[in-house]
Amino acid sequence: MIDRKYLLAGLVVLFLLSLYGWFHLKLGMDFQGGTLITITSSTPITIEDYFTPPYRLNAKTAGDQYIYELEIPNPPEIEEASQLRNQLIECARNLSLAYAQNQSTQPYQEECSRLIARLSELSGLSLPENATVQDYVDFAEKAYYQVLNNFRDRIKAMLPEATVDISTITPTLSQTFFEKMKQVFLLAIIFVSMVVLYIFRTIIPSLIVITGALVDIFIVLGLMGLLGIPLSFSTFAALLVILGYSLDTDVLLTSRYFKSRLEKSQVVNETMSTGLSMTTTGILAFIILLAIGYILKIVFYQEIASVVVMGLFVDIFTTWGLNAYLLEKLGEKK
Amino acid sequence: MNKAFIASVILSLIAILLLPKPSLSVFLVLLVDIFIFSTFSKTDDEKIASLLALGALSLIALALGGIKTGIDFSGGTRIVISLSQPVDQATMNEILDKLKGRISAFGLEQVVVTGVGNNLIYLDVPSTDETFPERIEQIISQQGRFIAIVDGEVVLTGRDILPGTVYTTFRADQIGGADWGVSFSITPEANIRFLEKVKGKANRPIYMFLDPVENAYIILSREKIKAPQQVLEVLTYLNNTLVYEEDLDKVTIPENVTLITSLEQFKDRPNTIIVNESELYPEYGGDEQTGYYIKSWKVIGLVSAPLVSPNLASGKTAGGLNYLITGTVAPGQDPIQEAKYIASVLKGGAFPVKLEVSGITRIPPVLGEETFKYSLAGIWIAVLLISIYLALRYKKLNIFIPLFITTLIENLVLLTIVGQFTLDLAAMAGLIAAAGISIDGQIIITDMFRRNEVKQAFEIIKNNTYIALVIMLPLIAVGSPEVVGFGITTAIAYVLGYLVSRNSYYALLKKFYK
Repeated sequence: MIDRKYLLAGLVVLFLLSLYGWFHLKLGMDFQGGTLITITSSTPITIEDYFTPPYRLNAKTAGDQYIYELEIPNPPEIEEASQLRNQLIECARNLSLAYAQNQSTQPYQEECSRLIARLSELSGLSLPENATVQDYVDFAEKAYYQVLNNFRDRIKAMLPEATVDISTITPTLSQTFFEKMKQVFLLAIIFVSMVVLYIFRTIIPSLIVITGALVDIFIVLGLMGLLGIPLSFSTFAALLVILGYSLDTDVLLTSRYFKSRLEKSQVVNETMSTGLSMTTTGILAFIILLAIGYILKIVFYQEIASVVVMGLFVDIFTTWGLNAYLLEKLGEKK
Repeated sequence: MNKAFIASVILSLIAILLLPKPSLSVFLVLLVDIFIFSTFSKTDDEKIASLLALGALSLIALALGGIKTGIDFSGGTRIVISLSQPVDQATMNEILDKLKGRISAFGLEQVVVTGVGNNLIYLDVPSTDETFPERIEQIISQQGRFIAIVDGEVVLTGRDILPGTVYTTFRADQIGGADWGVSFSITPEANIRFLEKVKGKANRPIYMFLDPVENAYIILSREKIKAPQQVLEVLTYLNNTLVYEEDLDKVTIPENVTLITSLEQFKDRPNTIIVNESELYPEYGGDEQTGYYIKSWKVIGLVSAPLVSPNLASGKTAGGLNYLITGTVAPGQDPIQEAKYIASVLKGGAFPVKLEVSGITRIPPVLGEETFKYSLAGIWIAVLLISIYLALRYKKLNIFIPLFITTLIENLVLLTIVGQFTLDLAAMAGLIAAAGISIDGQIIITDMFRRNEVKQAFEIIKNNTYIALVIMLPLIAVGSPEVVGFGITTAIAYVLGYLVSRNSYYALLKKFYK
């Protein structure tokens, strides 16, 4: 059996490492926006010849096809066109209202003209002489999609032999995703705290259980930063798995600690043997998922599995180092 | 064995044989079985039987109907559309209806359209056609074409209407005795043109079209036309040709034109729109004595026909560039719906909020099938290896049988349940998490069984189930398709484990642990 003092020391080291890692934690495309370029080709392609970093590349084969998934930040002209479009639609609306309410239209007219000029520059489209306000709105949409399509055409033109798919996650959408996931996480923590309180009916042991799980997640996020694994839908799901698994062992330890009539250190050691088997099998299961992820080049599996494996590993330190230590301190006090 | 238990197994079997598969109904049958079987299983044999019964029912459902795989495994394209601002459920439904309508008008019926939360829409299509995303972009960015015609002359188009000025109104001081009103403003240039064109045309209909049908042939029965002169008039405005059903043998319809008819005999002709007879003819106002007039004719895009008011005909507007259309509805009809409809027509049939394609994912079918096969094989190999590892760890080789069998059957049941709606990458990851959860539960039981603390083991498993359920609940509630499958699979895994498989495992363990 491992000496639990070493586990506590290991936890401190992991914690310090993760503090450093937190500064490097990145959001994935789901939560930050970006462009995903999927290139399907019958011959291999050297991506470095066509794209300059920064990008994330995942290359795989399917049948006799080579597939390259490339994540790049959104090009600045798309971001600008998206903003200009929204501004022009807003401006056209104001101009309309000025007309309808018989107010001066000149300031809006000037602003709209300025926005149209810039959008024309970006998109290569122009507006006819006798354009109406409704035409401004249509132009805003058309010009934006034109900028998007120009960008897509440029990339497609670079690789005429391949099938190129381009998918853009706009900043608005990624923000929506991120907000949603933050909400989900917060709710999960609140609900779970309530259930833990219900299970133990006393505050301190409940707090110890929840602290164990939260420290686990905190360290895993830091380690993700260190290893360059971004926070995305898959890793987010992984964090919830860790929360569940981590609480499983914490609840196991705390329940037995208070209910067993054996000597306390014996209870901890016995329970630790059960807990370690649980964690080991969990790690084994997700290492197999990781292997499938690498063999089939599925980023979703790779990310979810590597994060869960890390979380389960860290859980050994938080549950049998930190939680066991806190429980024993609590026991001594009583 | 309990007779009620046997009866419920037989009932479930009949349900699974009769119901369509894969379907939500089979999902429900299996889910309910988890609860029913758990209440029936009191003795060890019943506990083992309930897991075996669930496994057998799942196997039958799988063999007969297979599972429904998402685009991750079957290949296809997913498009995420974001709305410019959050909307309430009613508005979301309106947008979804409109979108579905437009998409099917483009001949893309197999698209699955789902609203997610209050600001996202997902379109899944089992096709990797490269032009699909562009067509969707076209569909959502494109405005409908609005024109208004008086006496054969176009008096107003969608371009003339000032964006953001179209409102519905129900204030009596504005709409007088009418049921509803829609106000809008037009550009100064259009205003001059419009007033000139409607001058002296009091009480003439303004035919308002959205995406009008032009240069088409339409077959109508002479007997069923109530206002023949107006019908002819409206058709000629847009260069459409009327063919009487009674004269069909005398007329040749050119091959390359669009034909609108209710006659089934044309169903194999290209460029033909077949509609029900009830939709083929105009809706009329008036009666036999005063004479009929056309109120609307949806099949050619004529949405409404308000009359030019005497004031307007003499050059007076509702104020400056502002106009007002008013109308009445038949008893029982909703004036608000009618007003909203007319307003949306004036906006060119636009969506209530701005839509934008903000994500496209395409998965080639070959890749999908491979992923599915290997993922499932991987999970079951994992279960096998872990069971062997544990048998070695406990130094009891016969413990392998209950461990492996329970976990495998549990995973099979889960696969079948989740596969009834959609199995995707997230759900598959959930299946492996479930295998881990299952084995963890088995370890707790085995260890505590050896220490004579089984009662406490089940207490811990119950608590773990509650914990897992509340963790996954918010994830399921938010419903983001990227991860919802994971939440659902894990949640069901815990419930299935707590209610059925842990009990079966314990019953098996007692038989095998010697």
